[in-house]
Amino acid sequence: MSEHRVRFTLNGAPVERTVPAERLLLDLLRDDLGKTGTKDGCSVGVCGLCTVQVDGAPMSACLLLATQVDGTALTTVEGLAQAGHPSPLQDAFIGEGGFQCGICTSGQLMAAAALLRDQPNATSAEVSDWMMGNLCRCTGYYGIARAIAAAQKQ
Amino acid sequence: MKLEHTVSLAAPRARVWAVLMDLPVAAACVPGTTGIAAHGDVVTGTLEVRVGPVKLSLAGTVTIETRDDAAGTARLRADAADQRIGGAVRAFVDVAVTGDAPTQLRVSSDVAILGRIGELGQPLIARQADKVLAGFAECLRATVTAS
Amino acid sequence: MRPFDYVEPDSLDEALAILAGDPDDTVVMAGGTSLVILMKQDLVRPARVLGLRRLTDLRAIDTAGGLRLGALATHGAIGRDAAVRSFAPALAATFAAIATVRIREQATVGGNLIHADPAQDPPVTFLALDATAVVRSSARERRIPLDELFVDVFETSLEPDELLVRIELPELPAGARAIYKKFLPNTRDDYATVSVAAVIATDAGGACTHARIALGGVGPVPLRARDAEQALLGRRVDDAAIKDAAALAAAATDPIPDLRGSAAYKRAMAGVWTGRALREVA
Repeated sequence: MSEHRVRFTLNGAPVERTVPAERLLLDLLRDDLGKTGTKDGCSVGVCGLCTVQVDGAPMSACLLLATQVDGTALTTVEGLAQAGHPSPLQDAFIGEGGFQCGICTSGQLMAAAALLRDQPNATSAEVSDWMMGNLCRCTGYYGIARAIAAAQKQ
Repeated sequence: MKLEHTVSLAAPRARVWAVLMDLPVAAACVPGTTGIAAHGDVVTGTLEVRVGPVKLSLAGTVTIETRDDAAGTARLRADAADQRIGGAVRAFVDVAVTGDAPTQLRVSSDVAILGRIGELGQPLIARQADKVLAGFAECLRATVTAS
Repeated sequence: MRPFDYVEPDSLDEALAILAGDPDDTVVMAGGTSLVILMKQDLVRPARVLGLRRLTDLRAIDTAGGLRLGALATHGAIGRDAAVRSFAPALAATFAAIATVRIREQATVGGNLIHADPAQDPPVTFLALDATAVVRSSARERRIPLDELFVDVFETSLEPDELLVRIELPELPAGARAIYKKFLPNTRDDYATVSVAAVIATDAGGACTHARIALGGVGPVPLRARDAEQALLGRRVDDAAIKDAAALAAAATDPIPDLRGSAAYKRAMAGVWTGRALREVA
């Protein structure tokens, strides 16, 4: 019923949109802004497929209203690559078999990127604890853990 | 889910039975019920109940399915649907009276939750159903012992 | 999701005025992690949602009188805060135990308390630390001891026109040790099957001078096991005392059977985990 002007940066670039109050961030990203890297999994914030970073903090885009990111710096998986090249973290996922079907990978990368930025020396137990909210059905998590460890060594 | 309530009433069995079988009066004893109307053997009404942050508005009917005045037993059937959420409740309520001043009233309910309402989770629904039935039993006690 | 009107006031006074104007059809949103799910399921259909995110004053954490946590502080911020860690490491650990990192960054301590799921983490430790909830309406401020805040599953004693603004904790007694234990047999991001928070202080002779035992997941509301606490006072907190206290704590529970366990199972686990908590702070 009410409409709102939301202004934020998306992967560093300014964005302005008018949205109805009930618009979810996930739908704004995928349908309105064409950023389909963020996936819709469980819709209730449990699986981690929709992980984005709001002012650097990992959050579930399926649980955020678009209005909740007004005035923030939003990062999606599309923002990881640097000048068209995969980031070191993305290279590590490629090199260590950190994905198979790829559906959870965007979320894994978003969560891992936040961890490596804030706790670069996280132990493997701390990595597991941080990453446990990002579910994967294909890899058994071994490739993901190896990829993060490899990225830490860089 | 099955719920049991028993109350002991300081009133004659005949009085307890008369109130219980007077559906509009008995329905008025269900806490949160409004708009009670009798259409022949069927009573309609709306039960407003809150389950946490969710407000339910269950509109439905109550009828007496079977009745044995001599034995003091009856089975009531209640069917109600939520106007807004999309879900329904169906309950079979077996009532039995024994003794006579004091009279024991046993209310055994078998409640089925259908549709969306079930998303609230059985434990929470059972809790609220339990409260409603306990309130019903207490109100009956007050009704039969007044006057 | 169904359309609704969304309002995002800039000040607490403005928020309270909006609530006062229409308390019954206005739903308050803090982080939104619980509310958005309920709205997506169409179980809650507010005409108006009052978003609190601009009330940045309510995110403050300070140490006046012990520890004060603004209602809009996120679980993540509280778990990382140096003042919280030095006040009671067990309190910081309690917040770190919640759900996933994503929930901890979005959800708030105030939203958590008002959501009032009896298996949540923060209320249990708060109860053991004698916390008080400070709530405001346009007309007045109320202080509610935490054990009077929780009324039933998903139900608090907050009035429709009130907002929780702060949680206040007094300094712990000198030498007191605190612990939070979460029995988590399912997945790491789950609510507790049962949880126990214990705060114990002893004198030079080893006799217990202060005891708080709080339990979560064992009834319609988180609770203090007061009989168990009384049984410890004046006594050495040895194996015999712990065994007695654990039995009393279990007896104080009234668990709701669900997917996490039967009532009997949860009651038994309450005893086991009370014993484990007490052994760590004896």
